[in-house]
Amino acid sequence: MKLYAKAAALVCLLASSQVAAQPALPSEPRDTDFQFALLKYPGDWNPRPHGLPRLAWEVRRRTSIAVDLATAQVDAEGEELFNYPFIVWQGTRSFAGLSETAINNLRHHLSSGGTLLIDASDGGEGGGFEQAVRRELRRIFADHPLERVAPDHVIYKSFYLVDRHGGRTPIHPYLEGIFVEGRLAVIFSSNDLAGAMARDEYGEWDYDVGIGGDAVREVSFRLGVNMVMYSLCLDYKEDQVHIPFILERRR
Amino acid sequence: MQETYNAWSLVSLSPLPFAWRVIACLAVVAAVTVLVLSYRGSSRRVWLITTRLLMALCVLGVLVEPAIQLRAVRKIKNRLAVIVDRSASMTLPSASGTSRYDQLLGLVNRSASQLKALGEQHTLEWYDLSGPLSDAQLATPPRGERSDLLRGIEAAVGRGNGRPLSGMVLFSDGADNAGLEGEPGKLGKAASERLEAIGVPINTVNVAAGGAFVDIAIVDVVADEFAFVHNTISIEVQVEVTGIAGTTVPLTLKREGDILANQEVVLTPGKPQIATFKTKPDKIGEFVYSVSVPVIAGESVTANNERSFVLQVIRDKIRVLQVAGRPSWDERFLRQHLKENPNVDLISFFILRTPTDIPMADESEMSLIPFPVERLFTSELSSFDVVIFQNFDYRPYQMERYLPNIAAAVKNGLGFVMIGGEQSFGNGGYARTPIEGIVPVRLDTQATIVHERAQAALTEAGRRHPITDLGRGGASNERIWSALPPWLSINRVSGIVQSATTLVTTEGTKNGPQPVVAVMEVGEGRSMAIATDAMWRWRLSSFRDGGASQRAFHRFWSNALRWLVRDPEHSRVQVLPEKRRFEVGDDVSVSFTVRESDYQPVPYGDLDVTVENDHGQAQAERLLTNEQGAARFTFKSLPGGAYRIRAKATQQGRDLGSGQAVFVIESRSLELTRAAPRPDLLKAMADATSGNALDISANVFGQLATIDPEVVEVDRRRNIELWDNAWALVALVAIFAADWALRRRSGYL
Repeated sequence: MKLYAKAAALVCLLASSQVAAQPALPSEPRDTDFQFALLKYPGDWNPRPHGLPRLAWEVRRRTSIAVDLATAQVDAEGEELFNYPFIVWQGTRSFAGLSETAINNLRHHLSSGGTLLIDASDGGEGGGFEQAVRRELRRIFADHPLERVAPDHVIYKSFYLVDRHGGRTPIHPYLEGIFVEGRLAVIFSSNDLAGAMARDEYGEWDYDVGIGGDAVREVSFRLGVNMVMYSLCLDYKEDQVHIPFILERRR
Repeated sequence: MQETYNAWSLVSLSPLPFAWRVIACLAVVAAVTVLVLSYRGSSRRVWLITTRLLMALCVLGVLVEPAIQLRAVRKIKNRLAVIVDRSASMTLPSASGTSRYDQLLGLVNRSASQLKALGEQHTLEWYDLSGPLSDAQLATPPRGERSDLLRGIEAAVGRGNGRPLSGMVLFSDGADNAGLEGEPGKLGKAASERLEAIGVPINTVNVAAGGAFVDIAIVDVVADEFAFVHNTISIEVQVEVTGIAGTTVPLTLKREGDILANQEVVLTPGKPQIATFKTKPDKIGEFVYSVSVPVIAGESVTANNERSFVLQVIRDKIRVLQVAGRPSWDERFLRQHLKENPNVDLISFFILRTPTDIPMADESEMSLIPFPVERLFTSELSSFDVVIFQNFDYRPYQMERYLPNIAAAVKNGLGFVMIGGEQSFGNGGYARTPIEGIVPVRLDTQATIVHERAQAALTEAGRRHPITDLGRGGASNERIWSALPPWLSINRVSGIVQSATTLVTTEGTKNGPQPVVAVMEVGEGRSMAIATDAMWRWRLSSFRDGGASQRAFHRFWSNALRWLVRDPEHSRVQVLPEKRRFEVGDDVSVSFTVRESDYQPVPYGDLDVTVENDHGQAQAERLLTNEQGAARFTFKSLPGGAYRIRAKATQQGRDLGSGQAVFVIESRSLELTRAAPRPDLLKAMADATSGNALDISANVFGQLATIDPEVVEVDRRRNIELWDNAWALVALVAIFAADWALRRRSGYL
């Protein structure tokens, strides 16, 4: 991108939002706003630093959700985990197992209503991060296996009507998840969603997404918005009142 | 002193062992036999044999040493248990017009001499079905609630200090209601075995003999205690007829005097008929339902022609409309709670996108639907029990014209909740709108949200209020509140309105306590304000509190919904009859409690109480509550019927609300439900024990089957020896002499 284009993009972004200026982390979260919290663990826990802020910005721009643009960082061993209902777990390679305290905290968090988005950033099927995460998930929910999320699940219509899965690396044309009492508590994308959404302060995309470019990025954003919307509204879009409208638009 | 003896017997005084005596006797008999055979050819054989037999007897007399034993004996009387059925069915008239029980008393009075004679043979013991019966008790009217004939008999057997029974006499109408009957007209197998095990004759006397018993009885009504409004319920009614041939009767279902349904029932004697009513309660509350059949001419029992029961009609579900100005964690966890609550029917509308948002997609690519404000807040508004405005600003949706509808609906009974957030209260533009009149807090146009750590603290009213009762009340509840996770954002309001009550405030905030939870009565409706959008923090809390915060979240919202829809348990004026069904003649005790809007007791409040039955008979009382806001009154001698009791509370002219309850006064004794005499059962009991089945008109006490006394006691005895005297010696010598002479003359010597 040429210099003037970068400058123009910067002006637009500053005018429309504060996405470029990462606000200082508050000492305690504001209860009012939605905020992503990135799970810290012994490993490459923040491989897409521009991904979640960008998604937060898009959620703020596109929906009525009040969003804190800053991404919180949270250790699963601490009580602060429970300040953040939406946890994101990213990584590019394998890592050592979490402590028992962390496993117990995550289990209680997710069972109590929390949501965990796992975004494998390593870009290959069966990569080290994915294998390690699957191992840890079996420790968290021994009785709840990961399963494919059905294409008609409400997460695909919680805001946008989505039938693709985006991501920088289209490994799987589906999401996986763990259901706790019927609620999708763990959402697993193997496609590096954050990689497709990551954009620097000057509006430059951090990663190439190959064929489909902008369309893939847009699908990634829409799926990301839907995930946030699902975590906040649950199966709202399956309420009877919505069904005729959705069926009409699906035709 | 001359000794008297009243019994004798022949005994042996020989010291020889019994076996030796037998052997000796056999030897004598054998010897006599040989001799007899040897005299076959003699012309004097008769005399010869006679003398030889007499000699043999003498020898036996010497060996056996016979004696007459004189004894003085005394018979110990065995018991004759007279069991009187004193159940309530014995008060029913018999054919002669007098009651069954009076028939029995008449027989007893007429049979004094026979009873005296029986008393010389047996110890007469009198019992009813529950225990010993004194003469004084016998003279009182029977009131037993149950006829368990077998148990009454077995109880009598176990008494008498183990002394044996000669038999039993059971005076009854046979109307057992404790499972004596097996197949129709026959004893049950277990009952038969128990009767046979008693081992003495049981004489049964049918005191209701001689006349026709005519009755149509509602034997049973099967209905749930609770029903959902607008949902069909089934009421099963079992009807029986006795004493008349098949007939058709109208069966009527009523609710406190109003006829709900009628149906014809074809009745055949001996065949219970089940009729089913299906009805759909259209009002919420407690009601007395009654099922009745008309009284026919000559009917013996009329108390079983009607049966009433109390039905509590409850909401099928609490219908909640949750409107959220934007998706948020507070909205999400409340929705999750409401969706998980089986008593809630939730309709949600969340504003997912505002006009200023840029979705970057065509409408057809989104799942958004229009916010149907007109439909929700006009035609559909009355279908909701509670409306929740959660961080919702009405202004972008042209709702001004519907706000009066909402306010009016609340005044007519709708529950309303406003939950905090930056678009709520004053920031939602509700100041100087009709909503201002139904919200417990003051609405400032310049309201702010404070982001600071705030711990919840109960106010004095909050310690008593049902909404904030998260534990079992008292100290436990306060502990729960003090341990809840803090809120990090609070809608600062400038206070509450005059008629509102603050239940929860902040603690530890810079500007002092801020009201967070406040409630208010608005006409028939109720409203609540929650000045924070951080209640969700209770729901997603660390497991270190053992789930207490999560339970508190559920309890708080469950309590709030019940209070908002005026759940009777949360009524400020409580009317509590001691029970819901009383027997005719019972005292009806009712307690009352009166509380302020903050649930503080109202001492010395006035209570205008009216109790009215379905026949329009009313009684009014004016009561004064005590220091604890409670009062109690006992209604005496209320006639049978379905009653509704209403209490209106005031204090110095100030209306404190009202409460009501229902109860039924009727006789539902088993005794009057199936009161037909059962001579067949009485006969079966007598047959099973070798007793006699008798009618009250018969010579009862002269026809009893009994067992004679078996036990004899010996006080003294004397032996008169038959062989050890002069006469015996003379007879012996004479016999031997005669034998010698005969044998000599016959040539045997």
